[in-house]
Amino acid sequence: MSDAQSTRDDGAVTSKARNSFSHRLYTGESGYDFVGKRKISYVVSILLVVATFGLLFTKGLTFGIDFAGGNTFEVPAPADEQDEAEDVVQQGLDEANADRSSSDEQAEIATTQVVGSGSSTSILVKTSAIDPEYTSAIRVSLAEEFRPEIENRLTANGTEITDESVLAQVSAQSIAPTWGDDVSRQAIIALIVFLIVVSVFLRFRYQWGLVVGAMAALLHDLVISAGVYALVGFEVTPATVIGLLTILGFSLYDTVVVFDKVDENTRPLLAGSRMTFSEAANLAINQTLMRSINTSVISLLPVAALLFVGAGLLGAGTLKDLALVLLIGMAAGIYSSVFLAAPIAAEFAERKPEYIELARKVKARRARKAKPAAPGAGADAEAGEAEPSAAQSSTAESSAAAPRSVVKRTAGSAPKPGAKPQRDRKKGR
Amino acid sequence: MARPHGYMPVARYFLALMALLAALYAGVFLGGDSNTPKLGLDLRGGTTVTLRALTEDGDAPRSEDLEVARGIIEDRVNGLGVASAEVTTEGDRNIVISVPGAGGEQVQQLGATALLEMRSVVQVLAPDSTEQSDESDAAATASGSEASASDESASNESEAASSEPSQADASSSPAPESSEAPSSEAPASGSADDVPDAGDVVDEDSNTQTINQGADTQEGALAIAPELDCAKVNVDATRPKADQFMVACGDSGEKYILGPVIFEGTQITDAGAGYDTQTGQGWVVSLDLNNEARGTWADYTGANIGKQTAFVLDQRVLTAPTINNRIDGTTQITGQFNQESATNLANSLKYGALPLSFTQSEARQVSATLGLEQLEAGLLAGGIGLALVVVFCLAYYRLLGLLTVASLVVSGVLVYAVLVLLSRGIGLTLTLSGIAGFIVAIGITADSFVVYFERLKDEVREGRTMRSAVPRAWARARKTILSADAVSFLAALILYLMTVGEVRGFAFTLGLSTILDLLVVFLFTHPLMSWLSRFSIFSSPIISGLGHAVPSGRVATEHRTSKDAAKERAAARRAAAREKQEADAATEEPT
Repeated sequence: MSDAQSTRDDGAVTSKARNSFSHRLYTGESGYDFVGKRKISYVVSILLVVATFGLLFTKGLTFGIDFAGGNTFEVPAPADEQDEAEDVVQQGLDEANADRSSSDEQAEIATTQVVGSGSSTSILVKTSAIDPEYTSAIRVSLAEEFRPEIENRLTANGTEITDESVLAQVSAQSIAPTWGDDVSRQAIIALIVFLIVVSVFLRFRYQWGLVVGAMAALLHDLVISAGVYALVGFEVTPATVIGLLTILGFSLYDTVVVFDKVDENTRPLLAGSRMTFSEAANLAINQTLMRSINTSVISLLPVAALLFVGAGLLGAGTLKDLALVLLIGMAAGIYSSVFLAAPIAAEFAERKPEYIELARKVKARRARKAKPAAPGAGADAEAGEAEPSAAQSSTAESSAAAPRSVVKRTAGSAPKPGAKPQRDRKKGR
Repeated sequence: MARPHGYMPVARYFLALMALLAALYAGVFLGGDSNTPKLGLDLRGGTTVTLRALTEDGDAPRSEDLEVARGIIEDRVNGLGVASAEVTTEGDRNIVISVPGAGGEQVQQLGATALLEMRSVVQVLAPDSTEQSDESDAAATASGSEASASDESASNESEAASSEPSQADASSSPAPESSEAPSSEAPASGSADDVPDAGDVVDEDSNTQTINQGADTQEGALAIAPELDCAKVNVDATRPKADQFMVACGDSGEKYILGPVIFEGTQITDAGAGYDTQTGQGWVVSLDLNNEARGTWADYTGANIGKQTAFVLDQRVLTAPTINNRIDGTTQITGQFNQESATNLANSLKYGALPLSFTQSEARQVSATLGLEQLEAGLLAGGIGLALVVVFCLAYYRLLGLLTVASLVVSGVLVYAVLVLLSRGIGLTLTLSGIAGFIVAIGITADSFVVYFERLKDEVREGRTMRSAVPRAWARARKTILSADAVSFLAALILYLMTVGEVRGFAFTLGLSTILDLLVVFLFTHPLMSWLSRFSIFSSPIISGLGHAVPSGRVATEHRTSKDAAKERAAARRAAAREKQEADAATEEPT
């Protein structure tokens, strides 16, 4: 805003380009009042969380075979032979079913898909759980059925053809129903331990309010990720659970970057009466906005590549599941570290007596300064409306040109970020 | 650290990095035979079976029991003659069997608790010349024992064979070491034979054979008998069906022709060893059957008094007691037991020789081709991810982006060396999820640079030259990078310690990358930045991508409010003149 009217000595008016939103974003002057408008963020987040729980209770999550138990067979075969592969597997399942008592659930084929392309095409059949001996039998019959195809490929690779090497070309995975539960149980334990350890760690670095903010943002990310999964119906696999835990680290990484700046901005506050905690926190968010966006984009790029390759080339499995949940979780993390973590931190900090006192002092000081009519009205334009701390968009701020008492910096307090070194004056130029 | 003209001792850092890399790569090239990290089975093909211990209360089993079970399973796996298999415990209740390459098929059979059956004995063939199993069977047995009702006394017609290595076994000479037992019965290697399904494949390297021990008739089983070499381990995966006849080796090399199954081991509800003080029989093994089997067993024993029956564990006869009377209730086996052999037999009957019962919670066979595809996919994803990050950095930070690229390269070089050394040192294998961990870590590594460069941007925008901005920005960025990386590392560490399965590989590489990232930032990125900042060309925003120094005092930080405008303008006017001194000044401040 005031960019254009900046009272430079040469009187030059800065170009419009320097005043664009993107430029202000780039320079950390976007001046959005994140903290002041925190109610909006709260409402949005609460709505999202409520919607998520609604979805979870009504629609629920789609669990992959790892949780229900089941088998995956992968046989090298051209794409048009899906039916043959299904027939072979179905025969094996029928045998398994024949040995079961009729009261038991019948094993069946869940899905069939083609993965890969060209000479590395293979057919992937997923079935419900059967005993290990039957999975072995199905593997053997698949290897027999597609033997010509497998032999062709082995020859192309220069591998010797034996019964064993042919059979080895059929990949299989069988998972007991307990497997997914095991992974999940461990994951939940890990989650709880992580939250405790991280709380302690953050408490060493920052004040309580910030810790609460960070934790709230974390839980928010987890819930929202689950919500997206419920909404779209993506399959939840153990890899998804792993990814969810990894999100924790990422989400916190972002939050820590913002909080470091918040911490830096708010530390010297109590020595003066210039800004309230909220304003300083908001300023920090604005200053680190570009940083948050950048770190998030950079973190997302490799994950996107992982998703693209995992889904495109392998069709399924760990890579895809992991990348998908990371992508969703990180996106939630970007939002929460900016719109939730710091505002919640400010919410808590503002309740502390010393900050209530500070807010009072700031208010009084601004009232004082608003009274004398500002002499340099022209300079008013240079006022702080464009200040990142737009929270205080009171016109009182526009007395920037009024002579100010320079607050003596108390010895030992850290220099304000970006404050020019004072020593040039000592240098007696 | 006050240094004239703000020069940090860049050379020192580079030398430290060089020394580190040299040491690592010396280790890589001189320390071992392979210069590549060991690949996990999901990348080179193989079989992985995860067994989960079942306990009645759902708690974790005792770690000693798990270890004993692991040892027994390892013996069995080795007994199968599978090359270079590994058996490890994982977490508090899992045992993982990994068999690289093809031929891990039969390991699946170990997944289930061993198959125990009670079959009728049709005929006993005398032992071949000097054959004797040289595989120590996990189950201790007592032959010549007998089953009886609990009140029945025993007649001990026993040969007291015990497979306990500690005991001398009088009835047999030591097994020959060569794989070709000098026995007239030993099948000629690779010879075709007329028994269907029983192509015996003798592996020259290991004492294994492949033979189907089941047949539909007694005569069929008898025909197989000569082919069966008790000194060798039979690795045929097909088990005789319950209604088939079969031939099986006893403990002293005798062969039993066995009839159909009377009851399955799974129908044994409990088995235990006890010392019988009343009748003076010494140690006895008693076992209880479930209701279904109890009736069958009572009928069978009633009809076959005086005949032998055999407990068959994994196609070998554990013990073949003679029936003394109709047994309806608890079955007692008596014989020349001592405490150990009785306990072992009871355990074998209860768990199939393992101190715990296991269920196969996951089994995975990956073909070498699929493994290669997964490896390629992982590397491709890594390459694309890296390329995207590099393009982004170059676009956003222009020439500074090059610094990011260089740092990522150094990171990669470090990671590779550490990976090779770790796979040699602690047997770390690189799995697909491990690769995913590295890829995800690319972002974390690049994030450190972003934090640093953005700090630089702040300083430059406030009117500093690059030279004076670097030390100040570093001092602040360092703190953020350390905190943020500490959080990432904590997440990875806890994941690694608390979880099982493929998560661990992922967590390990993530944590490793985080640590190496710090090394690179401290030893390479920052010193290089510091060195580059000495060149005036770098102060140009077009080159650095850090934006313009704002000469007008339009500074975007709160310190505007703490300085009056007049002073700011004055400062701006003097900025140019002051620049040089400021550079000195900044470095005089203690950091």
